[in-house]
Amino acid sequence: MTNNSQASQRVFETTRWSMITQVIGVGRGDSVQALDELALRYCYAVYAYVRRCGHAPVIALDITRTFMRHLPRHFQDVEHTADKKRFRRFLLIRLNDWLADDWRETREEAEDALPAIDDAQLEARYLRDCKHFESPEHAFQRAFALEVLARAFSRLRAEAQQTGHIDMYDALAPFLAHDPAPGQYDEIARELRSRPLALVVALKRLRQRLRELSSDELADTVSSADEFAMEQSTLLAILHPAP
Amino acid sequence: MSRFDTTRWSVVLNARADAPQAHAALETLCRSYRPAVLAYVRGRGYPTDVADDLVQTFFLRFIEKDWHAGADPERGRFRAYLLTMLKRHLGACANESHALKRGGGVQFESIENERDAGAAEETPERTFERVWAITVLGRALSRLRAEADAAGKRGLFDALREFLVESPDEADYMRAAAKLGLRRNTLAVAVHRLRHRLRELVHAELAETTSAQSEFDAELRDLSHVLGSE
Repeated sequence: MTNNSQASQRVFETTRWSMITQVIGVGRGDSVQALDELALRYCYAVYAYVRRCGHAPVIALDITRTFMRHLPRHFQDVEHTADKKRFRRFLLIRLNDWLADDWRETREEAEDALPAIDDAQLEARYLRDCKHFESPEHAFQRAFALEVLARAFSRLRAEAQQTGHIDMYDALAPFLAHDPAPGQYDEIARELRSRPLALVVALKRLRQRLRELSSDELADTVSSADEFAMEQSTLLAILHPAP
Repeated sequence: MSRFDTTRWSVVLNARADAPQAHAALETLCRSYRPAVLAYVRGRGYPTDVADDLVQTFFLRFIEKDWHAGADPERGRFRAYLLTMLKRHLGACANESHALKRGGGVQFESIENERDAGAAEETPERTFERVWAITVLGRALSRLRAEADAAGKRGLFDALREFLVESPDEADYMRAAAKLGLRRNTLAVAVHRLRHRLRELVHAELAETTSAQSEFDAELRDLSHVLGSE
């Protein structure tokens, strides 16, 4: 292993998913909490999967919350999961296993201890992003990829707020994915009382920072550089499917 | 060994004419899917009593004359083969009928005039596919009910049965939860698992009529299409 690859691997030893998998089975409370937190981050993917299975919105939310409550309390099962290198894969495997449990073993699920999920946007996002995907698995992957991006966007906005650049961020955010049309830089510059050239530079930096934050988010869900590369390529393919 | 090596249709195709095991498997398949065959014949306009006789004759010949021995193992969908042979059978019966008419017999003279008014909206092929799909689903549901009986969960099954095919709304869940004395989230998870098991049983039923993964996939697509467009 070269020095570079060793350094790269060290970075992945401290990602959230790495730390969870390292203490899994030891029964440490903080690992339960960490898994709980990571799973809640990506509850949209679970919701999209369950919705795509055909359940009504409120029922899909019930199932999602019940699974979220179940997951950290049975996280030792990760020891027996073939792929614990990537959180996304682990989450989908555990979800499938849990949903496929024998219905005859149905027991009353506690309702009072269900985790709080910010469900205000879940259904709207599902209808916009995932409704037309052909399978629950596709909907899950798409929602997971979009959640990575949404979290990066959210952190980017928070940074802009902290540094007093929120107006510029809000004006340029629509152009993070595609360049402005001719004349739009001049228009925004007038609104912000800035220069078009300054906006060009600002947009370039915002894009760079968005890439870093997206990578950060994704890195938290894997445990090695190889897995990161694989996950990045998989999620990009989901976001930009070949025509 | 693949899972399709032991399906009923594979056993029939592999053993061909002589094995008693193949005959038993074929009889089971024919009995299971008789409703689809009868619906097709009725859809072609034959009155009920004549259709019953034609179906009876068809299955007798199919089994006793070893018509299944002519099926191509490489193109192994029981449904498609059955329909092809049924069409030939009806064609042959019509020819016999015309021959009889020329000789004085008029056994099927009024057939076309007695076509069901209700069946006119749908082609016989479409009727065959629809009844076939309903039969597959019905057989899977019967097996699921039997499992519930064996596990002492018949009450839960009966209460949730209406949610298996149609997606219920929140009010339906609240009503069922109150009736069963369970929380709504418990019920939602149970419904999902029950649906999952039903899907497994539907797949098992379909697999019995195919002999390879590609044929199974095609049958599943057709079934989803037919049931989805109901």
